[in-house]
Amino acid sequence: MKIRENFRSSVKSLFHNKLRSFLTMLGIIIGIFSVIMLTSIGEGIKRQVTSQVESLGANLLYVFPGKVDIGHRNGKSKLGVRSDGMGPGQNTLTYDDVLALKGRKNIAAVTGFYNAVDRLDELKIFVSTTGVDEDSFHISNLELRYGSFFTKKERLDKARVAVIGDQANKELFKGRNSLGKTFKLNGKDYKVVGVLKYKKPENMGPSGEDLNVKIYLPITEVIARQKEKNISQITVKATSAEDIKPLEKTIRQTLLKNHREVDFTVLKQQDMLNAINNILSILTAGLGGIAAISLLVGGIGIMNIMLVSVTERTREIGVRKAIGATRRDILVQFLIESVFLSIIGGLLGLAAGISGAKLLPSAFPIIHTAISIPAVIIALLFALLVGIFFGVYPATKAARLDPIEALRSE
Amino acid sequence: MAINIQSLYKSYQNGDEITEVLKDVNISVKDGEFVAITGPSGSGKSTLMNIIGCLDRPSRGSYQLAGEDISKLNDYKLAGIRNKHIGFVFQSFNLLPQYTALENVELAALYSKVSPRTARDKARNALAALGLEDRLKHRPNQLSGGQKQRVAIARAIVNTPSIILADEPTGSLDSKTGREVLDIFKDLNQKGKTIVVVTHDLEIAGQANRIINIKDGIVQEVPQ
Repeated sequence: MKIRENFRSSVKSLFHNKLRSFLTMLGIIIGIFSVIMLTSIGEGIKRQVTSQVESLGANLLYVFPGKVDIGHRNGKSKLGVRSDGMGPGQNTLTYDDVLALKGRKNIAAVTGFYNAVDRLDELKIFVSTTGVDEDSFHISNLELRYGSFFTKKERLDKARVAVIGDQANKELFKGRNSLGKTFKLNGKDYKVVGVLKYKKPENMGPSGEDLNVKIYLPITEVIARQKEKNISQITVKATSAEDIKPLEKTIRQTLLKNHREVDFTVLKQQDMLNAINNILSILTAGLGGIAAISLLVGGIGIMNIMLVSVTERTREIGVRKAIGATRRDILVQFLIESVFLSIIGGLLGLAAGISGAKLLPSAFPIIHTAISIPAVIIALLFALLVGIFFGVYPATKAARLDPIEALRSE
Repeated sequence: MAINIQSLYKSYQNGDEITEVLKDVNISVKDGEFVAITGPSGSGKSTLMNIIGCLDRPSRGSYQLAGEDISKLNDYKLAGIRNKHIGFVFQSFNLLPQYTALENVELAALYSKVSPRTARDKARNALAALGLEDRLKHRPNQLSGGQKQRVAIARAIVNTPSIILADEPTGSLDSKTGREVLDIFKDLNQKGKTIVVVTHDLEIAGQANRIINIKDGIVQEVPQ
């Protein structure tokens, strides 16, 4: 018999037992559905994180104190980050390093970060303040509601000026335009020169914090009144994407003039993204793998039903052999039945998975999903393989039936 | 297509026990003969029938169909012979319940690897020859016993085989329909088909050119 006729024969048998065929497919449908859903969620998280990291600004390089090896992944761990000598007191990054970088080739902007804790007299609380350079405005893509960021002059003068976040403005000035008004930190007056626009907390700031509670001060002013002079981070913006590589070298060489050894780490934005993506890819693969187990269970369901079907249709197989079906005809027919079940189940599961992945964010806005095409292809191929693998045994059994025994069975 | 069986033995092994079902069978059936095989149940007549129908192989001895030794053929070749040269008719019809009359007949033609269109035409003609042109779309459960057996006969002749093997073809039918089915066989025989019928219905056996009786695996020609 020609394959096309075998196919028609198989489809007919499956339609003859509609409910059973559907229930058998259900295993595959659920399996593919969960694979697609879980990988979409994983992929969605990955894209969200990527877009957030990218929203921090493009072409950025970060200098951290201590030696963190993220790019070369020393040691056995493939996903890990090796970190040495990051303890307190070993921080050797200073504001001189920032000054040394200013005006270098390929640098569009550079800022240091100094995180301090100050007493906010009006509210009688301690708040964390952030000392930055005026370049921070561009580097961190800040948006202002009122006023402007403090200037280079104000930084050089160690002026007591501040740019405050929306929440800080609300609590200090009831959300009104507070330009030119002052508030007291540690008993001293600070003049507000800028108020940031409200940002949804999910769009986090450069160090992952809520921008709305920020109080930005000129870094020079902060360092001047602190005992600890070392800064926590330097962020450098390259003039263009092509300049990132040479800039990394420039930064290293410039900083080494002030340091006896490489006790700092230069990270590219891409390095951080890679590290995050690595972890998330493993997570996604893990989720997909767990879902694949349900596919396997679905496959066993197919085999089970096919075996029942062979037993039930023993007489039919005998008749087919008597009127001239070869072993191959019978084998192909039963194999097509199981592959058909798994492929149709796979396609239905795919449709359910894709619509589920599209609908999920509207039910749970916090979850982002993105359908990964490789996952779709792998899932469908897997469904096909499941159909073949779990169909071969029942089909072989059917093909090998002795026609006389088969005809005799009731 | 002549059937030539010489010193054929068939035995089954069941554990340590070996049962000899057929012992030293010698039969030859010429082209166009109508032969009845009779005998009590358990006598081995169905086994003989299965061997003639190429569903089973002899343990020893030779079975030649149109001069070709069947015991030397593989499964694929045997399937081809069953399909093209032999038509089976069973007591319980053995129609596939999910198929219509037309599809049941068509199936045998499809296994002969003709195109679907040819298969359909052949099936339609075979059913028409048996007066079933208005039952093409009926499923077996919508047909009477006699109609079912006629569909089965249509399926047996759709590939124009030279031999028709029938195992108790009237066993599930009332005597009137049984006679009608018998007339079909006689008609087919007149058109040149070799007919071998296994039966214990003496009326059918009486219509045959020859009666072969089996008892305890031993074959005897019954003189008429």
